[in-house]
Amino acid sequence: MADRGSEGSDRRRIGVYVCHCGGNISDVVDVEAVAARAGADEDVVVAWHLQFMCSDEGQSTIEQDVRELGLDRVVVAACTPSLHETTFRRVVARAGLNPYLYQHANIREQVSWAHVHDQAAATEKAARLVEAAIAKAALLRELDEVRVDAVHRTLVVGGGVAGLRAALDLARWGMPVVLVERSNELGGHVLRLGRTYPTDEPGRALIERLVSQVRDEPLVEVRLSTEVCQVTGYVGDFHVGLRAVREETDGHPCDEEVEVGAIVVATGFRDHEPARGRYGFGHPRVVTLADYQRRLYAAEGEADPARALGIDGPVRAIAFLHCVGSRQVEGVDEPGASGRLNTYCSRVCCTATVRAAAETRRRFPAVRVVDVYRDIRTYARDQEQEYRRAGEAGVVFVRVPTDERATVEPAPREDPYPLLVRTRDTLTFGAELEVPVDLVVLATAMEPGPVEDLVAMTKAPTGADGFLLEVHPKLRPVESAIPGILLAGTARGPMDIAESTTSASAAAAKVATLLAGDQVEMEPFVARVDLSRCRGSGECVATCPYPGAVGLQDVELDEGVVVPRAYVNPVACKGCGACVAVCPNGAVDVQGWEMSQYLAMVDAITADPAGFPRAIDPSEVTTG
Amino acid sequence: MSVTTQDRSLAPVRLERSLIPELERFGAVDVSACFNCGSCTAVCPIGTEDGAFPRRLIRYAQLGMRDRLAASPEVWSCYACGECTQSCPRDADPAGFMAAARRWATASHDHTGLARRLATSAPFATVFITLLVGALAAFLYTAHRPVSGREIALFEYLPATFVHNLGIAILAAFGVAAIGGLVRCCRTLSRVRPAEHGTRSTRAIGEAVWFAVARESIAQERMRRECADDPGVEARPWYLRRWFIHAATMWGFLGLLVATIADFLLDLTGLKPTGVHVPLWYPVRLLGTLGGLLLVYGTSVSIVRRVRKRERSVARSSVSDWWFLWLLWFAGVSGFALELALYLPDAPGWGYPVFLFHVAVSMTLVLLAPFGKFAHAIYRPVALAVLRLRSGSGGAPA
Repeated sequence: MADRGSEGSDRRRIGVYVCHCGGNISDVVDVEAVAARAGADEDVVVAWHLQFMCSDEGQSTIEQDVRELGLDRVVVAACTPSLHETTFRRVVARAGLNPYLYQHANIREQVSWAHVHDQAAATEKAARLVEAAIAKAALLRELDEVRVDAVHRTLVVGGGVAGLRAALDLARWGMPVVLVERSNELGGHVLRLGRTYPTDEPGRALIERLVSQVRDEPLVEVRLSTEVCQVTGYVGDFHVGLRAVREETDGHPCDEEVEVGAIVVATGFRDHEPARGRYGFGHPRVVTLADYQRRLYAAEGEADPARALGIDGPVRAIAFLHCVGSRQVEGVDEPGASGRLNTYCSRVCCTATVRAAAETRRRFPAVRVVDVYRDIRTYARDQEQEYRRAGEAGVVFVRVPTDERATVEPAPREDPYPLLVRTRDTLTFGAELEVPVDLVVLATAMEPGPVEDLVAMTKAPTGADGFLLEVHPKLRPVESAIPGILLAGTARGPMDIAESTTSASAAAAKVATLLAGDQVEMEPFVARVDLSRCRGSGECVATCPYPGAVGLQDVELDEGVVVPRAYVNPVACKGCGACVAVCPNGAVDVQGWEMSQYLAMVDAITADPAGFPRAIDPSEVTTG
Repeated sequence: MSVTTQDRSLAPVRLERSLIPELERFGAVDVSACFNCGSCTAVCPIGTEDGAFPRRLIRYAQLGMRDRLAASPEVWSCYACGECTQSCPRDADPAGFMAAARRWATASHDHTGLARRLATSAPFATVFITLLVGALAAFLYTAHRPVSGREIALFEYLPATFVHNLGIAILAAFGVAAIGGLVRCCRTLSRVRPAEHGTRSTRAIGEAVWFAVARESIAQERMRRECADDPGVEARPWYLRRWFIHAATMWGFLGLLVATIADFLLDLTGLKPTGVHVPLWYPVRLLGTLGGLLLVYGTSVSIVRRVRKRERSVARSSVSDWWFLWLLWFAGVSGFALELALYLPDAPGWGYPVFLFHVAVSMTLVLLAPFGKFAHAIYRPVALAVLRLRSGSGGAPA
């Protein structure tokens, strides 16, 4: 056992709790044996195994033990720490201990789920991970959250429906907002959508309502034709450079700087542009759904389809093609202008398409409408009605096999129609169809907006699909991994208007709670310099990827000698540990993850405790 | 073993004109609500893996695939139990669609356009049939002669030869229309899926014909065995079950037809001149009386059910259902009225007009048979035989 500096009566009082996770763990791992092994440790006062540690019962057991047995460290062996570490820190804090005197061991994802077929080895591994956690727990120190004075102003990037909603919500909570929009008008895509589901309200009317409310709000400062050119600082105190949008922006310096406590990214999406020729794209009679909607709702009283839609020639038949640039499959689809294969579903196009198809039939009963789809996903409340209505309106649905695509080609000269859509139809037992049409409408995908610059400036991560990434899709859906940067609307992925405004309101609420007090609290897992060992080499400063996180400052030694020594700005530090790795003197540590703690864990894992047989003989383990 | 027949190997179809509006004129409710879930096909008691009807046929109609719908023998398989309509999640009424498809198919096998008009226009059907019955009666009346005795003497009133000759002419007209329709039907059936016909063994063809004519058309095996009455009325006695009502109507009609022809043959051979009175037990007369009873019973129950609309199979009635049913009923009832007139002591004055009416209605019935609901008796056996040959099971669990 490693020296824990806890000898004699000065021993630690650690409580260990092994979770069954309702069988998820206990079906594979002998939790009783793991608890027993943990209980044998000299520093462990109590070791339990329970059905669900995250339940009320589990939590109150810990609380009670801390109070009644005077525990000074707590170890829970359960699921991944990303799920419940915070939960148990709070439990420990409620019981009166410093929340950082808590250590988590993951014996579900790393043990029971991974080693279903070898229960003995799984139990041994779990026991060792728990022993390592105990070893680390013994060396944990009390830590305090890093606190930053909070600037109450918020920057909202993007003036579409999500940005407007977020700005409005924030202003109503009394928080000043700077709303930056790159184009010269507010409203984004919604402005040009025609009538929107499910309320049938024109997109323009929706935006006008929001904009007039935003304009009436003295706390919102709207900056049109403006873009973000630099982001420095951290949650509570970001310094954001802004500049006017010009023809040539490259290399142009920022015009001004604003100080904000948080940034809401509502940069929206970009319409997918198919490769030229694909689905007839580029042909004058092939339009996108957005374009078609604009035409359809531009002249609502016009009964003649050709005149209403602005088509030169008769309009007798229209085909709608779903999933253009969405749910792409390697080997079947080609990437569009973005160069990326969009494997995701764009979610809004099904409902929008069947609505446009039904509306076309309703307004122009003589026009045949064929809806060519792979799957119909009209998923939200009342949207199934739209699908049903389209059927009842006489829209003919044709289903393309999943591994095939419809084609659009110019019809031969003698054909009275300009275009032919060809596909096979699974609904008609694979029959090959040829649909002569006057117009083809492509339901194009939503693609990530042009956020490369913003991503580079903020280091906010994006997913494989190119959209900005949330911390957790269910548990932390509007937070980016960078504290203080929130995600609203389609910047995070395809959403309809209702979902966009919902996420915008959620992001605004997150900002409001974040900046509600005068200070912002952050986790204390940041670097700390041991001045007694630092020799001022500056290696850490050269390595640190975060501007302003580490620096050198002059320190006066006893004899009046002034030497450079490293310091850490805890609010800028992200605790990555790069400085720890390069320090030639071992003078830096990341709080909560100190070198000594790591070593203790390694010792515990590799130790061969007397009296316990090893399930795996190290001599039998071969590498390579 | 059979797998669902695919359309993928067939020639491409141009999607240009929907068939739905046309079928609506033949009495289909709007099937555009159908979203091809296949519930109808799943619940159909005579559906098989291979048949895929009614869904497949509704699909053909939605896409305007006229040729394939006309060439689908499945159109004629259905016994109209209505179970599919009851289970349809979209209220698209597949059973009503099937009935309309049969009327449409009948009309498309008839090049005179008469079947179409009789099926799509109630005023036309009413006026046309009334005029036809009236004209035939008037034509018969022109040949009447004074009657000598006190008793009713039908064939003194109308010369037997005259009635016989007219009857033969009517039967010949029926034959021409029926054979013409049959030829067109066969041609249509073989046009879309020629490859599947190939060469068949005589044995297979014989078996298919046996299945279609004997087991399905005469014995109506599947209708008795598979096609249930409405839930809850299953327990009713055999003489009220759907299959019996259909059988009574069918055998009653056939019985009367055979009796009439037999009477003519007896006259032809000189065994019994037409009009000679025979006792009730005389075989030909007995056959006629029994046929008449069955026919009047079957059609009366059908009419009552169609009026009450309580059962799913008769929830909706079209003009084609009505005119055929009423003609049958009038033919049967006027026949019995005639019997009554013969037995009444004082020959009633209405005896002769009823005679004219009876003969005119019966002739109308035969003349219009290939243009209306009766046409299924012509096309169905052929379609079932083709289906049997194609799938090896005729869409039936063999």
